[in-house]
Amino acid sequence: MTLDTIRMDGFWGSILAAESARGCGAVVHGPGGCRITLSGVAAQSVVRGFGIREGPFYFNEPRVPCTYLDEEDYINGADYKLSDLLSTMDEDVAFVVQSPGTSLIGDDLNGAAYRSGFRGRVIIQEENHMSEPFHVGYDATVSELVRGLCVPGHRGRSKVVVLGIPVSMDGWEDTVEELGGYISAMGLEAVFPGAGCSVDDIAGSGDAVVCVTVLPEFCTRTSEAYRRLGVPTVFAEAPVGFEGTAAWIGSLAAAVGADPEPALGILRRSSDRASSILKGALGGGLALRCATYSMDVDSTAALPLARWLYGYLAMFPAEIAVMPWWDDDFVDRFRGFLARFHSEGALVDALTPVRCDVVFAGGQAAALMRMDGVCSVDIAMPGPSTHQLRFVGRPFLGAKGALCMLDRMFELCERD
Amino acid sequence: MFQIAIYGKGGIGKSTMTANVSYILSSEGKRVVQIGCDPKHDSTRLLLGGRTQNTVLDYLRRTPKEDRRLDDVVFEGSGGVRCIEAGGPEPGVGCAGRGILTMFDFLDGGGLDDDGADYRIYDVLGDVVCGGFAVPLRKGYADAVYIVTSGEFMSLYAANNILKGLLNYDDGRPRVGGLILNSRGMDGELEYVRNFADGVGLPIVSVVPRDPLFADAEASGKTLAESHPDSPAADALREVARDIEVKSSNPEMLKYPHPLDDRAMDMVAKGIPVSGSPALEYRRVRNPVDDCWSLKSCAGMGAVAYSKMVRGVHTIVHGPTSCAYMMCCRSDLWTGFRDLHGDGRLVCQDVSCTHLDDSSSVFGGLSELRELIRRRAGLGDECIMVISMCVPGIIGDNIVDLCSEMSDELGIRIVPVPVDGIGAGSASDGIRAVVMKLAEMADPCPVKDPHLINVMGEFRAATDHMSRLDASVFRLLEDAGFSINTVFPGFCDMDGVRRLGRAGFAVRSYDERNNRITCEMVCEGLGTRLMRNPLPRGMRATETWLDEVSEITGRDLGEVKSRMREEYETRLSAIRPRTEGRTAVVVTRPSSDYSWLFEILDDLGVVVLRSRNSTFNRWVVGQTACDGKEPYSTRLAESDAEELAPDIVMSDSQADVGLSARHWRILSPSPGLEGIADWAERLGRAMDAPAREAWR
Repeated sequence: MTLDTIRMDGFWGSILAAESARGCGAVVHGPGGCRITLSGVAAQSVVRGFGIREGPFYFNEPRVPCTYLDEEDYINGADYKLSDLLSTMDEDVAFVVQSPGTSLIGDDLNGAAYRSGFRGRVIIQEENHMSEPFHVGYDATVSELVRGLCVPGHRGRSKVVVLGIPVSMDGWEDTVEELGGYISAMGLEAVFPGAGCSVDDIAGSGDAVVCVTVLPEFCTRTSEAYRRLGVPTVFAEAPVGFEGTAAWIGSLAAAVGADPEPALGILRRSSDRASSILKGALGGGLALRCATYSMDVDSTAALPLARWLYGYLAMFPAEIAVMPWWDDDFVDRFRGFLARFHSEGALVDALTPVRCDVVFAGGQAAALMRMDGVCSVDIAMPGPSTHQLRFVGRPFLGAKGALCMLDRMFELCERD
Repeated sequence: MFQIAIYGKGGIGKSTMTANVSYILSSEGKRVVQIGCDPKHDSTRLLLGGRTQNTVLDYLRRTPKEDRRLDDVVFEGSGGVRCIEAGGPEPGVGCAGRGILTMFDFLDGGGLDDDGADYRIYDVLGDVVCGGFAVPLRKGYADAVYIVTSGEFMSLYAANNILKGLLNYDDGRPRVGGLILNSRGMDGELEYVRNFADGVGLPIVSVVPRDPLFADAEASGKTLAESHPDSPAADALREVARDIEVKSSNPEMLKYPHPLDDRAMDMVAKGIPVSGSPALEYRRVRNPVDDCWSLKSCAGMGAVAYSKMVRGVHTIVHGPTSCAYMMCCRSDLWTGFRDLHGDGRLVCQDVSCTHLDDSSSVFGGLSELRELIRRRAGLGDECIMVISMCVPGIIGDNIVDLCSEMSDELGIRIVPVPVDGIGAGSASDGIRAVVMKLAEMADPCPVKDPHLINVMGEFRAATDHMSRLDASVFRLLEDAGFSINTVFPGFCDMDGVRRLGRAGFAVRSYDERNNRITCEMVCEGLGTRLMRNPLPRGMRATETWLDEVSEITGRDLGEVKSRMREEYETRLSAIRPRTEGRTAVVVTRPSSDYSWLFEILDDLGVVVLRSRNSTFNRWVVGQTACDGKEPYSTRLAESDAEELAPDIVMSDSQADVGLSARHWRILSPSPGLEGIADWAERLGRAMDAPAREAWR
């Protein structure tokens, strides 16, 4: 079996990040081929009032209008098409991303925006992040939104900016709801740039007391944008599993001087429920003990996930490929953790893949491995996806994520 | 900060002028940044003691993104001038213009705006050859543009082109500082240039004399202003610096660009006064974005969609990951997360990508392609198809030669399909390119078997009906006395491709213009007779098709026709109670033959109250709106529904999901009797369905 690395790249990350903000519309300046599937994926990722648009630039699709460049436009330039398109938009903010090919011809996009007479704000992203990791494009775009919209404000004591939840992630809305609930229980208000909040929310987030990360690689540039506004960032570890989520709550509470207990109380209800079910299953609750897993996930989710799988369920890694390496220190820490139970050899550049019980990977890769008999259970992680219609979210972050993963993994026990 | 771009024909002395002006301004206490925007990266050499500095693009190529720092590419030169060089690819490869764009992205992202400079001066490659080299002209960059020229006509011609470029980036404010005459010492040179300057309405801000001291300064690796500050040439350069200082404080002194047209430039060449000539009007080529000209998808997508359908062909997408992802991410045939051949292997597993990034777009992507082909070489692919996307097309990657070279070296079939994304046109063009390449791989077969037939599949047809080949098409072909040789190109493997030439006949799976043209071309090459009629949809089309079979094969199919007609009537009579007397509004596309639709509606007793022809349709290239009537829209359909109160609105537009009336999306039926009968049964159910599902 060959697993190539065709997964969503930074170009997709930019589009979906722009679409993540309500009141903002992503625009593709490029040929129609670059828009294929984008509109549908964007419409399914962020649920909003549905409205199909007929006519030029939209052609019966609801989101992500496109300038539909043709081969002559590559020679002559086509910024006039962007002007024409922008003049038809009715969003508050238009976020323009150039297709890979169009980025080579050097159209004057700022001039086009100026000439369009667009009533709202136009943000042009010159870099399109083609073939870069998804999170790079996502982060770059959210940071552009913050730079373009957000103004410094008087430091309040109650507002928290939560960064690093991409809308490409299955069940991201559940994660927002859950983490928002914890923050609210601590007497704080939460804003989620890049995760479904509005452009007004972003614009008004400059008065936050602190930013806190969820998946840090999705927000390095964005946290820098907030730093320039005077808002510091707490780089907390991803809230994976019950203990990881408790640690995340603790990091935030310590940073803002809040009492974490009300939030931890909510979390305990979930973890107690899981614990009761597992204990009640008697021997069945031990079914995953010493089972094996492989993962190919975003770097900053990998270590907390490995910790949880080992500490909570006594599962062992077969192979772990994180994409791409966060930093050398991170790799050393990861290796050190795995060495504690003689599994440091599991860290690989890419999955081979070897037979294991559970695979955590992008939707497509995970499904391929299950279909090829590499694993019994595939759990889709953020980033790549098969873009199938989903009606019930299946998050992997927070307590709900832990419960979802337990649900999926114990399917294995029922089958075996 | 005031930003200045200095342009001029290659070799005219821009870098020398720029470095001198930077030095003069800097030595007067101003904070100056000089940015060389030329792949030959020698703009700042005289400020750095004759050394050439590391370029931004080399740095970006060598340095991981997270380690990049602006300070690593900024060097301090004479007089404290901060020096930056863009660099670029070797001549003949990659895209230097993209390199300039990449540099600006890096400088902007790295915080160059926060450096507190008083002046930032861009020294830009000879002419505005493409959008990349025009970046300094854009809004947000150059506040003033100076053009270095001599009295040679080609130099003035380049200056005029630069003014044309400026006109393209006109943002409503004057931005031209003037001309700097770098004298060649020709007789009458000043008058010659002044004639041009008058024509375009620009001042000559300084006349820099031809002076051997320039060569002397260059030999010592210094600017003339530094090594010979008291020379007349240094005085002339100081005039340029003064002009910049004055205009930075008084931008209203800058001029609008008024380039000359070809006739006026001819007058300049002949020394005839051009003052008062009408200014060139800016005329931009504009291609409309409408139904007729906007292309669905791109040739790259069409090519990959077909290439990956053939088992045994490994498809390499030579382009960015985003292209490959769009072609592999979903479970439909266009994309490929699907087990098309029923052997447990997904289509997307036979696709890989060169993952071209920003660096490849500057320096070329052939090395990535070469490496990927080598990796694939040991994996047993019968054939590798390399399909190029927009990026390699624009930067000029020569995949044809590379594939030929590697095919010889590795001993496997490597087929280039240089459609260059949108470069070769729409998806249909890409499909045709791949189909023709595949057909070239067929074994020569001069003797044809009259009982074998190739089903030449158009993509849409494959998605609609091929999964039920056995139920409908097989029976039809069998009744007509044929066996299927190959379903091409969908659902076939390389053996199927090789045996293409054996069949005596071929039939199109679907009646569509592009498919027809492609099939004709393939059959002509193979020497196979292509049937006039495609696989039939509807009873009358089936009868016509059987007549054609009789005509070309001499087989008597009268009994088959009678049996089918009888069966058709029987099936429809069971449906008719649901449909008889019900009413419909029908909206069809102009690109396809919908005779079958009106026939079946008639046979079912459905009354068509109004028929419209949809024109908002990306699939149609080159068709015009229907009879000058208002193009079809959901609003029109709503108004039809309100006015006529039909039982059902039938259309092929996904936009009609928003209609309040009962709606039926027209999808083409499978060929043959079962296909149309199944379709009719479903329509019968639709007539009794709720007008609007609750979710709508």
